[in-house]
Amino acid sequence: MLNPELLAQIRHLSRAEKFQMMQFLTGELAKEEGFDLGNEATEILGAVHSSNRAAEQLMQILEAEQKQTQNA
Amino acid sequence: MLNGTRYPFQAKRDEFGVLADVPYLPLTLTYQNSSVEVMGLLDTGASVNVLPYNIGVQLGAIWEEQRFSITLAGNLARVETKGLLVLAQVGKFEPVQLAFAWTRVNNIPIILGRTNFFTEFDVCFYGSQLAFEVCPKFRES
Repeated sequence: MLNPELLAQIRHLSRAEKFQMMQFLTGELAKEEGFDLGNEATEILGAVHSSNRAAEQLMQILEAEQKQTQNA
Repeated sequence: MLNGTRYPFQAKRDEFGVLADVPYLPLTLTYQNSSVEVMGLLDTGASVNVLPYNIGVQLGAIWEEQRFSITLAGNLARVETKGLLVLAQVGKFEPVQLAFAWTRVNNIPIILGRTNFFTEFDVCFYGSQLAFEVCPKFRES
């Protein structure tokens, strides 16, 4: 059960603060579920510059979606 | 640039607290019935668009339901990444479908890369003026 005082305090936060809180809570949930990837954030930022295979895969998904839309 | 919309660079702090002006583009992402207003980092060097985990969750996407797996380069080939199609609206332009590599990582910016942000939009950088312009790709009518 959530603390009513906590909820009242959250309600008064600014939009940006609420967004930060959501990010914090999502991060906490991810950690609890074993998705605390640590350095992988940095690795991802580096890897996306050479992920041509991933680009091909995304294009295939887009093309499949476009075909499906045309056939509908 | 004809019909382009101009945006200023945004001052952002890096992990060491140092300020820098970077090209962040405000846009609205929509997935099914959920929309989120976000800022995406324009990265012409990135092969793909990248969506952090928490933004996908805010959009209502469910990780386990995504059918398409995406393979990132190097050591990250082992990290599970999903393909997620999202409608994106930039300013007053018509919404377009963007394909994102949806990761399990939260603490990264939304990255707008060559596939397929830069195939949907033309972007002109005015680095000396700390600004950029965006317009949709030319479509023959």
